Amino acid sequence: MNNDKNYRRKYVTYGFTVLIFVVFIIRLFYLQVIDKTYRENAESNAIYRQTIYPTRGLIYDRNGELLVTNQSVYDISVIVNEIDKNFDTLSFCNISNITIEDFRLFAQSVRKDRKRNNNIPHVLVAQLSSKDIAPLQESLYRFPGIYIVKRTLRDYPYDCACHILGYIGEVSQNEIEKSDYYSLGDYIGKSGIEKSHESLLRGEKGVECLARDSRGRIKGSYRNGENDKNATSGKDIMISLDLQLQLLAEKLLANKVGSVVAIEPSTGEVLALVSSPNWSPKQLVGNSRASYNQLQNDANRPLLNRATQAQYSPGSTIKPMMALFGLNEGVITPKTKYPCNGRASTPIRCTHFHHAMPDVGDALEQSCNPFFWQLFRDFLSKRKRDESIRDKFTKWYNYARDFGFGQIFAKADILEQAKGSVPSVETYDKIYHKNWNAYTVKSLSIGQGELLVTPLQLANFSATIANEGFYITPHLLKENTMKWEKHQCLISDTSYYHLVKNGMKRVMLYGTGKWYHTPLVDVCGKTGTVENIHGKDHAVFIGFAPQNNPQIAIAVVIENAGFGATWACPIASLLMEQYLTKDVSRTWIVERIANTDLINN
Amino acid sequence: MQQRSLSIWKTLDYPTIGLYLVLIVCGFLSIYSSNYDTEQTAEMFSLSNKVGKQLLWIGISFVAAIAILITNESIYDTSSYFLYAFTIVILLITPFVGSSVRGSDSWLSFGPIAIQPAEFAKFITAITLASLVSSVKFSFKDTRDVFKMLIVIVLPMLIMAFWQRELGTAIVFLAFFLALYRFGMSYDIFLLGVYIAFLFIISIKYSAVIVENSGGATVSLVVVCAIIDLLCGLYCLVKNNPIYGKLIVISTFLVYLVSFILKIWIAIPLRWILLGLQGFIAIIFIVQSVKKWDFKPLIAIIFIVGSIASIIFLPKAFEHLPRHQKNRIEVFLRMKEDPQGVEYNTRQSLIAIGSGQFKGKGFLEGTQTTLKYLPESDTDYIFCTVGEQFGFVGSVFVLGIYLAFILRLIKIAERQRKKFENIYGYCVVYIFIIHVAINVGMVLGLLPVIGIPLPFFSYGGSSLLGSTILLFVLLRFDATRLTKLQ
Repeated sequence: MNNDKNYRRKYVTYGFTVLIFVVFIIRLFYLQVIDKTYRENAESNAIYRQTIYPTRGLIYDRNGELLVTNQSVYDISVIVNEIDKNFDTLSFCNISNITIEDFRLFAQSVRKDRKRNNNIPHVLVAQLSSKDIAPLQESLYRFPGIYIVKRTLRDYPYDCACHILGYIGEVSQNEIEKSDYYSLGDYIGKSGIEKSHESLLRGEKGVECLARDSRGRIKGSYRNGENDKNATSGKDIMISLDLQLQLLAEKLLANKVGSVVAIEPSTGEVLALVSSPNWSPKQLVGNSRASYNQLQNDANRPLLNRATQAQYSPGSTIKPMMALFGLNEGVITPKTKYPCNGRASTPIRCTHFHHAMPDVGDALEQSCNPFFWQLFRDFLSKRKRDESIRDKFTKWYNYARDFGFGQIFAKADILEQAKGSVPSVETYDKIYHKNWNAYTVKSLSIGQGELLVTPLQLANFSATIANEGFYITPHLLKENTMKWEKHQCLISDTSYYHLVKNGMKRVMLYGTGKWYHTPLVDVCGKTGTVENIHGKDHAVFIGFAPQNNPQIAIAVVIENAGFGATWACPIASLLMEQYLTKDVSRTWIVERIANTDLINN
Repeated sequence: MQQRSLSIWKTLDYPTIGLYLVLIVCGFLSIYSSNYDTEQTAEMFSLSNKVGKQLLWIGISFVAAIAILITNESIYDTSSYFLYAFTIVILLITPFVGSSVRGSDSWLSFGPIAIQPAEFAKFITAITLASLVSSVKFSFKDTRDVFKMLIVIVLPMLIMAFWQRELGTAIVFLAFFLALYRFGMSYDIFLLGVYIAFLFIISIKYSAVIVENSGGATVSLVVVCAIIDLLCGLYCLVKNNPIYGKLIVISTFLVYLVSFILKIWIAIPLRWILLGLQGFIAIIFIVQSVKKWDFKPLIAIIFIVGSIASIIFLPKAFEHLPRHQKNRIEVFLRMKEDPQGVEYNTRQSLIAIGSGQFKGKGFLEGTQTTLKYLPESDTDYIFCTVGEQFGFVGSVFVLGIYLAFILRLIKIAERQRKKFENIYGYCVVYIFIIHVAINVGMVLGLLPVIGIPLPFFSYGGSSLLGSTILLFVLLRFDATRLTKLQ
């Protein structure tokens, strides 16, 4: 062939061949070495990441009583592609207690939805109890393609404390976007403790990597689970609630609109927090969640946590603050007396009967309106010092804020809080175009007018008096006591507090609270009757016990109940007795109050 | 005879056989891994399974190889025309008696075994073509000889492409043209081939794109006319008549310039202007031929008419292609998207290879193949299993084996002393080159999706046996080359 004139053409073949392979190798180098995206693509193809849900932490009360636990429920799931022709629909429906109609609807929805993967389970019936599922469990082998999937839900041994405990629900789109932890279908605390301590309670999700084939079928563990991550269970927490106190409080508030807040003054721990009307925590679990709408539409607004979100005028319960403020500012001394003309007093009349020249102790005991009005008037009007009424009013404003009014407890683990409001100079400037004087704001001296507080703030105020000048942010979590902020008040002279405490003691002995005094407990208190332009007055009571080294401070508000002394005072008295003696001796009063319906009459 | 059959084993080209065995083993491992399923490893080697079947086919291929080696090679040259005629008949009747697999009517079933006659047609065509071209009288300059040659190659191609709907194997027959280039065939045919491919692409892709404000002239018409005019002008300038050449080039230039300036303001019948220009050029060539009484310039008229006819009629013919082939071409030309169909395959193929990265995921650790993301992972896309499991290293190794194998075959084809064996050798070389180039090119996303197997790798008895026959007939020729006179 060497004399072949086309001899040189063989090099074309060699060159052509080599060129092709060089192109291929360059392309391979690009695909396999330079471009790194294909690895991820292959993994997202092949790995099905199944989330392992951790069990949510349990919640105990301060004495170790279980308040919130978990229960197992069962979903019936169907892998549509595993169901064969011989599937006995009738007996399946009978055993699992669903109607043929429901099953047909499910089958239709499967057929309609073309995007859906029929090789993974879809829920047919959700959240059945172990009793409901038992017959199906026994004959499951007869129904290939049907699976029983276990899930856990919340359970509540006691029907109480719904507002504090809160509830959990599926995460919303908004919540998913805020955090990179949650994904669709996860459960999250929606209110109460479940929300405020979500990060403790939820634990950490785990993931199981499963190999998934091109038709979406699961082919066992991916690489023997080397990428799997175990779920970490949620932490069990202990909250400061006293179960017996809470139960009694809820019993007493049955069929009334109102709230009770009890705080341990020395620690700021919330001992009981009731808002009435309420609901059974079990109502918002699993399948019964449908009742949420019913709660939402209830005219009495049970979902509102009145103990922390409702705002009332404090009424006479503000008088201890007025006394402390007067003493601290030097407006009055312990001996100062103001005249009281009883019902003839102007501009505010006195609603009680007592001698004509009360000092501060008498005024507290008898809830003498003219005394506190004159105190307030002297403070704002007497020009002893070169201070305008504005500066003086701002001083009062600062005292009120200092006791925790007009603001939320930002660092508390109680998320649902209203601010209340303390009127400032600006408030009145706005209303009266800067043309106002002491007479304009006279109502403030007796806790009416523009001053609005929440029952939680009142309880905290009560605790502050009990503590003689400080409070610790009210909170629910029992552990880590140290991290809660201690607030030292502007008024720190303990002799003023002793004076006020004595006055409040006399309220229970001789004054407006004397009908519900019990020798078993050394209660200091102050009643209040809040004028309500919409209807019957609200009954308010604040108090603490015992006088020395107080263990419990309490605030009670009962809407539209009339005199504070009639409704709020006995409830507070009973609760303090329950807490301090672990028993109630006056059971007749308990029964009378519990059986009184103040909503429907 | 006794002495000669003994000497076969001494003169056999063992490096090629070694490379062949390496490819067979690698291919078998790839098929094993692509059929590997974590749940049913027990019956891997049973005959009901692809792996078992392939093992049987490997055995049959070895038997066939030995049979070929001990058979006298002279039968191929002498019986080639008879075998060719027989093959054509088989190809014609296959769609009637055979079964349809994946939109192709190219399979003959014998009980559990299905055979694809097209795989053996390559071998038969190769020996027939070698026999024809190596005959003493044959000349590439003789039109009748060239016509015969074209018939031999194109007849089975047409039957496969249009009768059996098996476009992939038909394209492999282009290998014969490449092989004949070595033996003096003019390269004009490749230029023509490139031009036809160009016409095909532009007429399909741009036949629906209308030039703005031009009275319905398509982009394809404008571009093809420009090429025709420039080529004709250049032809006249260089070869034939410079005056006519200048005339053509200048008139073309003017027509295009004036048309494109004018159409900014007014709508013009560009289509008719361009067709008129082509008519004008055609007349110039006719005038030339008549003047000189030489009919060579008339080829230019065939060129002009053929080009314009093809851009008008090719899009219409394209509409009549089977849907899956039309779809593949449209997707490759980026005319449409088909994420669930053709694009899915290409995408999964690239993911499989790309995810192997440098070292690969390890044998049987490939998720794309074992979890069945990759379609046809044991036939057309088998190279992906190598890329995924053994990474860049493994892919380059396999390509290296192929390269060595093909270069060795070129050397063998070159060293034969009989022209018949030379030509046959080159046919074998180019059949393997085309197979590897198209298959791997497709898998790497460089070429459109054309389903042809990777020789010795892909699952399939016909392909393996056909390739083995092709190879071992060449090796048999090679083993006895020294006993032959030049």
